[in-house]
Amino acid sequence: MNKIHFLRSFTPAREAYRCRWFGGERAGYLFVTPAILFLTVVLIFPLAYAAYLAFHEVLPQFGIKFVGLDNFRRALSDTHFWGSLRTTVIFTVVSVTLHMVLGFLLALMLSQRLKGSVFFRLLLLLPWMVSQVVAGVTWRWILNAQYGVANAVLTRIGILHKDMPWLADVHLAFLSIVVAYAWQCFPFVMIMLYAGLQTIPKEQYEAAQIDGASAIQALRFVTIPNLQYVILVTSLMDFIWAFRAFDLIKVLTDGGPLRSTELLSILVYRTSFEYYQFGYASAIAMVMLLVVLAFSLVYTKLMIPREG
Amino acid sequence: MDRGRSWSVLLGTVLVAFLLATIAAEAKVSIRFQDWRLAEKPAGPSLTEMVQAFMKENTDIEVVLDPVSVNDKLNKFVTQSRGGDPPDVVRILTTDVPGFVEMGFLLPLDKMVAKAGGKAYIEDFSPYLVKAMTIKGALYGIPHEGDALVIYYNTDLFKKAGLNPDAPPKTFEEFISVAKKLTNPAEGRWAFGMLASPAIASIWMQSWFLANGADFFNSDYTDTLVDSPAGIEAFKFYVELYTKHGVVPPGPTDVDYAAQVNLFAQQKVAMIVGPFATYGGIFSANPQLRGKVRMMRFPGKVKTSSGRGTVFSIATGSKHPEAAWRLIDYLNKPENQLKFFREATMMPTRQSLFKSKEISENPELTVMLEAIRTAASYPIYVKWSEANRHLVDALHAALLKTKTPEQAAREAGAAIRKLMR
Repeated sequence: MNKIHFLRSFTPAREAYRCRWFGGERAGYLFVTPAILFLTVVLIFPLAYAAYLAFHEVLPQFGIKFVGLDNFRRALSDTHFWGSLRTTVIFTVVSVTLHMVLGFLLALMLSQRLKGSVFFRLLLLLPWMVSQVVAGVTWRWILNAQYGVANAVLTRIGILHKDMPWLADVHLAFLSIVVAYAWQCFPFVMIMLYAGLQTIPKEQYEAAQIDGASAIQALRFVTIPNLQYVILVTSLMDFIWAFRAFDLIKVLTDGGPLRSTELLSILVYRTSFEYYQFGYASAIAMVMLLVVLAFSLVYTKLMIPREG
Repeated sequence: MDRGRSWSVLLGTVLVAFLLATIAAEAKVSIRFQDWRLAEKPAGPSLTEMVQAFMKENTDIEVVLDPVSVNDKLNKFVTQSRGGDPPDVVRILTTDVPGFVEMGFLLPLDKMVAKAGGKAYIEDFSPYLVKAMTIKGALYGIPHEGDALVIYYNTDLFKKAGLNPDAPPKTFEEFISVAKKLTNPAEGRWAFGMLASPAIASIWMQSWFLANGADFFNSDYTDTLVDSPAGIEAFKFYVELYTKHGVVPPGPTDVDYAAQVNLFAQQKVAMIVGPFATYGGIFSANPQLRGKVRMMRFPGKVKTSSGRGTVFSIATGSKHPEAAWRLIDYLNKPENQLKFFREATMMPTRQSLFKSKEISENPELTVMLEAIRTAASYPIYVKWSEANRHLVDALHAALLKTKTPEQAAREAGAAIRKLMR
């Protein structure tokens, strides 16, 4: 049994007593207790309460009624739920792909140690530092059909011949939320991959060069395999964030037009705080959690090679 | 020994003083006042001043101000009420009151009103607001500020288009004819700034229904009138301003309140819908428009439009409802409503104040006062948020031409009827 070293300096009788109490696993539990208590209050209790509400209907005058799986059955037959789920999945897949590609390319560029790369690194990180609500408001102004900067610039340089209703057309609105979200989130991917790139030994590139590998081959056989775990963790985190994206989209389009950008998170918010259907909203939130959990498990299982 | 006695006396005095202070502190009740207007300018400073004056007059009450952002007002109050820690006094939009009453978040105010003067007290407030706040025979809110929607128009643009600004359109047909003359897309100018962003799109549309003799619901909220002949006619007229007549700038589904005011301030549109606050908003965005903006009633068969307002209510969980009522009563005193009108440009809800020199002799307010007198309330329906969603879906579908106006209105009517069952 391991003993805690600092207790060694104490008197033998006390030391023996304390070792009995603080030795081994008990000490470990004691040290993690504050963290567990904190997590219970801020994470486990709300999660458990949401799960509890998912099986109940919140009635007027603070009443509550057990409804079993009714809320989940309702979700399965709700066209708006399926519409939002589809929108969320497409949004997540497109966003994560875009972030990974953009983040990877920029990380490669930054790692070339060009003049001013520190300045550019900071500049590219700025969108990540901006709050999502501020980003949403800013993009709303940029994409305004009448006086937005996007139309003004694109028309002036000849890409557009007339003003586009970026947030008022079903397809353009979806494209707009993907672009705005990418602008805000790619820096995270970029900085993670950039950090990963710094850990690749130079010798590996030198060996590849001696073997006559081209730049593409070096990227494929040296860079990407070395970044495998960073890519796995980063894309998984990005997936989870994109799947529950809310603030920026709420401010930018509020789910419109015609629910074309109504992600599940917005549907949950609307169902609870506008329709006061807390039970049904909790059921949708639980489905979201299950989707993310299932994806994370399958993804990590497929991507992490088994030992041996 | 003497020294010891002195210490004892001193200690005793401190203890007595401490006890007295504790008793005094306990006698002073503390109430929380939650209001998104506290976070706004110039309404916030004006309200804060009134609350400070209230505390000076009522030394037994301490008011803790709880400003909340306009976007968080709903979820904050709902969460606090569900959690058993609501504010004592809260400002609420009339449309949100039925849902809160259904959830059991608000206290009926009838007993307090009876003590304050009963019928004589409440009859001074705008009838459409009092009616809206009376749910199943009980009163849940005292109106603090409220007005009616009107159409603001730019007299310069009217003159440029060869139109007489003294004779605004009076029927739907006249409105289309005037709108066509005001529209010139080549110059980036349209007649009407339609607001169709989800949050308040249907509220802004309601006045057109009312002006055509329809509404979203019948008077006792047992059926919807969205798909009634007059309802469909109004909906079609409204949608076709964009889809057929082209007098609305592109992308109305993206135009929210701020965008609408900006379009008007930049003279890209000649007419917009708005409450009294819009008047000040236009001049803040473009002071050069001062003297060039007028209000007109909605054209149509019936001279009426949507009446909006906010009320003060007491949360069910309030530990000091009497103190809360005293604050509400104080803020609603005629002199304080008038102060709020002067400083925050919010229309009072006391009808007696409409006769005051300051309001009745203000030529800028003539149309607004007429509109308030004939206003019909915003929808006061417990499932309004859901019904609103169906209306917004219908409006967007018709504006984006994925459905015809008739089809969209009929589908919305069917969905709302299902909701009402």
